[in-house]
This record gives sequence, C-alpha cells and structure tokens, in this order.
Amino acid sequence: MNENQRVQQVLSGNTSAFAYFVESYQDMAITIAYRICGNMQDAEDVVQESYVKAYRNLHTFRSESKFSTWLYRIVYNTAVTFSKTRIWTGMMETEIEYAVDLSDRGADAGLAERERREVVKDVLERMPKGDALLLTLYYLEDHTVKEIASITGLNEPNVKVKLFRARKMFKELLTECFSMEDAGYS
Amino acid sequence: MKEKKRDMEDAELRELIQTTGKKAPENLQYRIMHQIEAEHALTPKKVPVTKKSVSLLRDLGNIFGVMYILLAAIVGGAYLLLGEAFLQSPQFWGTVVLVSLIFSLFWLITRLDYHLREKRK
Repeated sequence: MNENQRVQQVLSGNTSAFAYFVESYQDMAITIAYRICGNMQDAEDVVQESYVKAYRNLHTFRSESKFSTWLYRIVYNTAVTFSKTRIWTGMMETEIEYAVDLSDRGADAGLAERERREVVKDVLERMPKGDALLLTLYYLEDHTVKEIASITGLNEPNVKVKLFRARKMFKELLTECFSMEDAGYS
Repeated sequence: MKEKKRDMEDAELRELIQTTGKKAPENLQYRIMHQIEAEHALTPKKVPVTKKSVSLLRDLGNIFGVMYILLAAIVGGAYLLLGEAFLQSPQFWGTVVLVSLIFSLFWLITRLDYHLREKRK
C-alpha cells in the first residue's frame, strides 16, 4: 500500500492508518524540531503539535510532493513559531573563510566512535540553527536541494549557497574541535 | 578530480552527520495517536444526506396541508353561510386562487431561503 492510499484511508475516517506516518517520520521530525528548538522537551511538543496539524489539514495534501516533505515543512514552521527565534542569522560568516579541508586531516582516526559522535553533536550545536538544519536535511535523509527549499521556504539558489557555507563552517569547527582534542583541551 | 574529492568529502560528512539523528521517545507515537483519536471522536459528524429530503417533504406537507385545511374551511363556510350558488361564483374562485397563490409563494420563499442557507454552509 502506498502513501497516497494511506492518506485516503485516513481521510475516509480510519484514524489508525495515520500511525504509519507517525512511526515512519517521527525520528526525522524530532531531529528537525530539535535543531530549531535546541532541547528535546520542546522538540517533542512541536512534533506532537505538527502531527495534529498534519492530521487536521490532511485534505489539503496534494500528492505532487512526498508526504515527508509536506510533514517536515509543517514541523519546520511549527518549530520556528514555537521557538520564536530567527534561525537564519549571518553570524560567524567571516570565520568560515579559513575552513580547513576535512579530507586532508587524519585527526579523527584516533578518536573513539563515541567521542567522535559527541564532537559532531557539539559542532552542530555550536553552528547557527539554520545551517545545522540544512546539513541535517541534506546529509541525514538525503533530501534534494529542491526538497530542502520546499521545507524551509527558501529558494533553491539560496539553499545551495547556505549549504555551501554551512559545510565550510562545519568543517572549520570540526577541525577546531579536533585540534583541541589533539592539544588535550577537551 | 575536484568532483571526486568533493564526493569523498560529502561521503565523510554524511557518515559523521548520520550519527547525530535523534530518536523519538517511545511514548511519543502513543501521545500523538491518542490526541488524534480524541480529536476525531470529538469532531461533530456530518448531517446525513437523507435529512435534506425529509425536511423538503415536511415543508411541503406543512405548508400545503395548512392550505388545504384553510380551503376546506372556506368551502364549508361559504356553503353553509352563502349557499351552493356562491360556490359557482367568480368571487369564490378568486378567493380560492388567491389563497393558493399566497401559500405557493410562501413555499417558494421557504425553498429559496433553504437553498441560500445551504449555499452559505
């Protein structure tokens, strides 16, 4: 059974068919909400509210886009409204000029898997929320630039530029963290 | 060469970021489904379609029922008070036609009102 058939089932009154969408997309939804809100408690509330909104407005869903894209757009908007913050800030833009090429370094070789995960998590949290979100959408679920544009409401060239900058900044911060690890500051 | 390097970097970034995905708590799905089911249960159900035709017939019966009762009363009254000859007079038929017209007009207004209300809904 494909997603459109499941949507039709829910629209005809079978609410339990909606559980499929909750089960399939709740992890990514909570990741998006967490990137914007910054804490799990708020992220859970945002995801719950978003799913209820999606259920109420399911009749407006057109099959032109994927259900996940439509849902993540709702999660994104709800989280932005909930956290009442601007997520597209220009901060740290000057710092990224000196980003170091990630593939040139072998510093991560010595880090244990768990430590590396912590470092990456820390780096994403230090980045501006919008940039961390773009990287998450692009690399975690392999969304296309078009889909990311549709989720965030930005236009495609803007997504490309921001993604490029986010990637650079991520590499720079990661290198910084690795250098601190190497120097014993962790 | 440059593209290959970028692909390698992309793969590396992907691998790193894959580890940062959050996992929804176990009770979240239950919370969401519970709220959705409660909302579904509290949503007023749609009025059955059959009600429309019932209401249509009821209006028709009510208005024309009263009209026929009134006409019967007029016929009975005229027969008893003014005699059988009056029932043949144009004056009597004029009254009957006037009463029928007034009730038909009233029924038409009722239908029009119903139609406009449905349209607004």
